[in-house]
Amino acid sequence: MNEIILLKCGELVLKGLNRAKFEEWLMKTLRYRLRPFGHFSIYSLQSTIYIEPEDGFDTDSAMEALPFVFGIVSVCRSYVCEKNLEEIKSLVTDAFHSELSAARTFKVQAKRSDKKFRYDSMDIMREVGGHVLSVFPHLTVDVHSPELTVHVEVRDRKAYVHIEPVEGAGGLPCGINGKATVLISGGIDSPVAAYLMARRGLELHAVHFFSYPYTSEQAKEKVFELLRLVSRFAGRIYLQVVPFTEIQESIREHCPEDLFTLVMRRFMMRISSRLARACRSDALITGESLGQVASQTLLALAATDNVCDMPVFRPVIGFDKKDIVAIARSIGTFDTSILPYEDCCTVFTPKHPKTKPMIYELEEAEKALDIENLIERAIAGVQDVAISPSGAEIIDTEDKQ
Amino acid sequence: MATHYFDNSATTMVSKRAADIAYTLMTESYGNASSLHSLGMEAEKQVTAARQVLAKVLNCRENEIYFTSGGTESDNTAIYGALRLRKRVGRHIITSVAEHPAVLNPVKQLEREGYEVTYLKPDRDGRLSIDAIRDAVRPDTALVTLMLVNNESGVISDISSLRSILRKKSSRALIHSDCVQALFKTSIDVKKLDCDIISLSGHKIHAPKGIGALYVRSGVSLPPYLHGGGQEKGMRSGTEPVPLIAAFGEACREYLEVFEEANERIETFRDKILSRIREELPAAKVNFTEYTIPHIISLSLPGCPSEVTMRILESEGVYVSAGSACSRGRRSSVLTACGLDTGTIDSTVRISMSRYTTAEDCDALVNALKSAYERLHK
Repeated sequence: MNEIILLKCGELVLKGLNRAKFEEWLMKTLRYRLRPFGHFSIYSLQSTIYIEPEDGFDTDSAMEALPFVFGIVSVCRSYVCEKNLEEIKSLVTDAFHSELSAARTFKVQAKRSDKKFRYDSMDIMREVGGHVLSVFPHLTVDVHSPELTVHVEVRDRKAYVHIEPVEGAGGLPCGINGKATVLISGGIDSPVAAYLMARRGLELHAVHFFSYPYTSEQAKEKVFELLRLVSRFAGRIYLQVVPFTEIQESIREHCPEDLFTLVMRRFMMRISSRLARACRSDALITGESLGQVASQTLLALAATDNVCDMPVFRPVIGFDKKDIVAIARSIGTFDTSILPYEDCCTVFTPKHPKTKPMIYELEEAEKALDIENLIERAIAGVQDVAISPSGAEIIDTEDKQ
Repeated sequence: MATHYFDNSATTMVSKRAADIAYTLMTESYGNASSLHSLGMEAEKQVTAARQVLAKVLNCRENEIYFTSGGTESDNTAIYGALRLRKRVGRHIITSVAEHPAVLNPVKQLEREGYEVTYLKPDRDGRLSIDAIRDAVRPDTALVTLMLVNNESGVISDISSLRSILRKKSSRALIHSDCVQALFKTSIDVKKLDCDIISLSGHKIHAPKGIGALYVRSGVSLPPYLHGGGQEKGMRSGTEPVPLIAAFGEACREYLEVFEEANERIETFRDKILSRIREELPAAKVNFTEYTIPHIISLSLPGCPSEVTMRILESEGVYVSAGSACSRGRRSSVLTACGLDTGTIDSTVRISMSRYTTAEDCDALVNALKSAYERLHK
């Protein structure tokens, strides 16, 4: 039996003249992602991408990897035969022997996109259904809620049969919308924000602010792990770890306590947008949710945006915590996010942070700081890390040249 | 940067003499102590010699010492064995909330299996009151398990009075004491302590990790925890780890020669550290002041989260233990049980010394504590 994987492309098919470019981009991603599993050929026809395994291709592992590729709405592991009703019938009963034996009710769903095929879809359903019943007499047909649905698709070249497709990751192919920089903390929200924007076709560059000795090495390792989990969807992520202790200590020393968090957030935005520019990233992404904490009030967000000269995407801005948690669970980052390593920076958190800050107050407070120098020193100490689904790799500065 | 190691209650450096003998027994005299040829006999001799030293340390007989893999195995063997031995007496256990997890977790497991447990709470000074222990004893009490020296507070408990309490109540309960932190830091004379079973561990006294011992008073026929080839008179099966046993013995032998002098020195170091802290860092609080061994100082630096303090000290080469983690749910149960407030607990570090601690180490420690405190209170 010849196996083939069919990928349905969802919203890509709605694109107009750019559609070919989108499909080509997705196929490029797929070639890269599936390369570890062996040789295969890939082509697209009628808004579906076909992956034809060659000898030795690990289809099981490919099926596990495909639901992580953005731009695909469903993944079907199918069997192929010539466009001949008798062949289709025997392929269905052979290929799904164990599933049909175990089920009690079933139906056949047919689709005929090749209108020249002499049987229409009603004929196919009736014929194939009748054959299945004759081979598995214990089954009954249930057209409303069958335990098993057998799909038969007669397309331009061949006929394909499959059972339930696996849901794809949706969204747009990785990187097709350019690159953006995510500020990643180690909490629940920022990995979700990174995932949501990567799903809209952005390549990710990440920035993490590291406050050793106030936060631990484990806190940094945790960020590596969170980004690794996101990179299963988003592909390779270039992470920059910014030493932040000196900035935090000088803010604490020179600025009013109730403005601490906001002055700090403004530094984060300034540094992130500089690092973003340097690697041709055109937007920032944060995991802020309106009103969740004092630094995420409307005026606080306005005050942080004020130092930033590129779009700031906040995909979870209108989400309740429980909505964010649900996504974090579904993408597998939740259990890592709730590891307790980052709670120790409480030395800096003001008891009564300002929730309605005025930009002029912040600017006044910042006058006590040598902003330019602090930023330059922080950027000079940046550590570069390449994150991929197989792990984190620290890039030596010499290699970077 | 020089290393100033103040986490000796977590583990210690292996002494050169102990490491050398282990190395020799791994690479030259590597026989199995059960073999009948000369290499085996040599190994057996080493095991016997180590057992003799341990017996001397505890003032007991050689045949009362059994080697195990460490404190955890000793505690599990003692607890499960004692309850099986006293199963006719009843199913009630007395312990304390400040015990080490190697005692608390087996006890909690037994509680899930139907045993009844009384968890005693220490007073603010870290000690258990004799009255509370007496009140907890019931006719069906089968085991009292209490540690001699607490690993976080350094407080010594009055284990030697347990026997008379049990006698007055005509109780047949067995007495087990986890003495892992006590060995060579305070006297463990079994004649005076009067326990039935005692747990010991090698790596707290400059022997390697992976070796421990169990003292079982003769006449107490404790059933084994591990069954197999019948080594250690059937009490603890498994090929004897001769290099580890001999290293444990050697570490004890070495310690016997120096421990009185070493403990006096550590006491003067402790006093010096505390007097400097009182003068130069008056905000710091010493959590336990009485009944402690000099080796452990439980110190709170108000306003300094213990993990952050630990990392700042580490950056100056000073290694201490964050007495507790500051995140919720991981707060030290020992310090909580002693009634310390959460602010104190979250800012507590544990400083623990060994006989290798020097006066320079102590100076570096206090200097680093001062600079951490100043950095966090700028």
